[in-house]
Amino acid sequence: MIEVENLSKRYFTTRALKNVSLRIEQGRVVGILGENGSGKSTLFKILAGVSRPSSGQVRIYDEPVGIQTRAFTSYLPEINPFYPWMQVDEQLEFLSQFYPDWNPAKVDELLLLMGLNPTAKIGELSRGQQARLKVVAAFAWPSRLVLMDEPLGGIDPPSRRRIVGALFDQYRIGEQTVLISTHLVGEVEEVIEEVIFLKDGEIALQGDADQLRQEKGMSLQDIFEEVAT
Amino acid sequence: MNAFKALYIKELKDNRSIFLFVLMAALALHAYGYTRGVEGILPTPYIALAFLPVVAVFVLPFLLIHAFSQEFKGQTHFQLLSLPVSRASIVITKFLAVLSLGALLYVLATGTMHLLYIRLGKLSAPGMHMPGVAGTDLWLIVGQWYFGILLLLMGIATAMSGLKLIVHRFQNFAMTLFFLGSLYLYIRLLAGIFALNLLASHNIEITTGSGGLQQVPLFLPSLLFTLLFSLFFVCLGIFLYERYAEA
Repeated sequence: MIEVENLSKRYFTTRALKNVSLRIEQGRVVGILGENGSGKSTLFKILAGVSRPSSGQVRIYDEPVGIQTRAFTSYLPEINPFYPWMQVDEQLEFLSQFYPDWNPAKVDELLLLMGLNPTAKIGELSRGQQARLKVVAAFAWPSRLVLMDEPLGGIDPPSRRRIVGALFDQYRIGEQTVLISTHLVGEVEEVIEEVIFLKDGEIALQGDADQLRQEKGMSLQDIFEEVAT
Repeated sequence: MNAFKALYIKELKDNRSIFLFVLMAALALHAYGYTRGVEGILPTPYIALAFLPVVAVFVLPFLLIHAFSQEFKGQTHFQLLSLPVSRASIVITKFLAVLSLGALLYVLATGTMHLLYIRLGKLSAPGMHMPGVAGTDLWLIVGQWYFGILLLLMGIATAMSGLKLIVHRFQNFAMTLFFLGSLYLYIRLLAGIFALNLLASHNIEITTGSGGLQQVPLFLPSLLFTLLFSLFFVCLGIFLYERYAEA
């Protein structure tokens, strides 16, 4: 379970998150939706342990964010975090040294699914291919928490649904909690079970995805647009 | 241990172009110094051979700073900081990678000098000006000052990299001020330690260039102080990285 209490993050004069509190049950697929600058990436960075909160508490599976939580968290940042001089297989081999449950057979399957050449140099991959590599790195081992910050950015529209479908049908481990932040709500609408709308660093709306759809009589995409305006 | 090794190897590979360039340049310079020295063309091959260690102690700290800053510049720190390892191990592996290059340069420089002694001893070349220490003692004497200064400057460089995380304006000015301040502090404190050298100096017997034996004092308190001073700055760098490094 992920518990966030009164979480705030300040960058100099900007407050990226303002007293955000939320609770996410284990095994849920949660969409964190919001416009640019709403605080989605900041929330992910804090959950991933690469950024620190200015105030507030975060606990993931009863552990404060740190080395222990990083050991069971897959984090896909919005940007390309890989070393451009490495080959795809070198990068994955590097990551495998840190996660004892790393599954090389699964890596091969995912590389095939994503259409990535293991010997390709990362610096020479397109933005879409880099996004695919991030997905491979995130699902190559049975992490308990997957944080996907704009995972579909750069991936061509026809491939998006196929990749999302395959990831959630074939490669997601049962109790894996997945947090997805995206503005391409339509592409992930089918897999999202719970949704949190962020606006100006605050939670504008949250709830069960089906329940929200029923209550408002519209799709998540439409709710997103309504909340954003 | 696997994770630490992976980080260390990653550091070596990440900086391999610069490391190889420095090594190749060193190799070329030493080959030149050695051949010229043997041929007797260079009356003081010592200058050519000693050039590199002197340059290395000033270049390597910059390489260390570069190793830290390139992670942020290339945004690879997102990956590095999300790994299940302490920030300390990230700092230490970067430090060790650059120190490894420093150690290689030391072996190369001192090794060439040693070889030249052996060769010149056989040739008994007249008029050759070489440092007053020969044989294995050369390794001790060169190593003492080389690693002393190198560790000191690399320690300060580690702290400077940590300081960069908290100083966001006038960074270059702050770094320069910190560097000069640290050196000033070191020299001021070292002056006090010098008195201890007289009390606790340890003499070693070395072989001189002419083949004779000579008693040379080894200033252990100064050396120990330099190592502790360097360690303090490395720890400061680790603390700042641990506390303030974030994406």
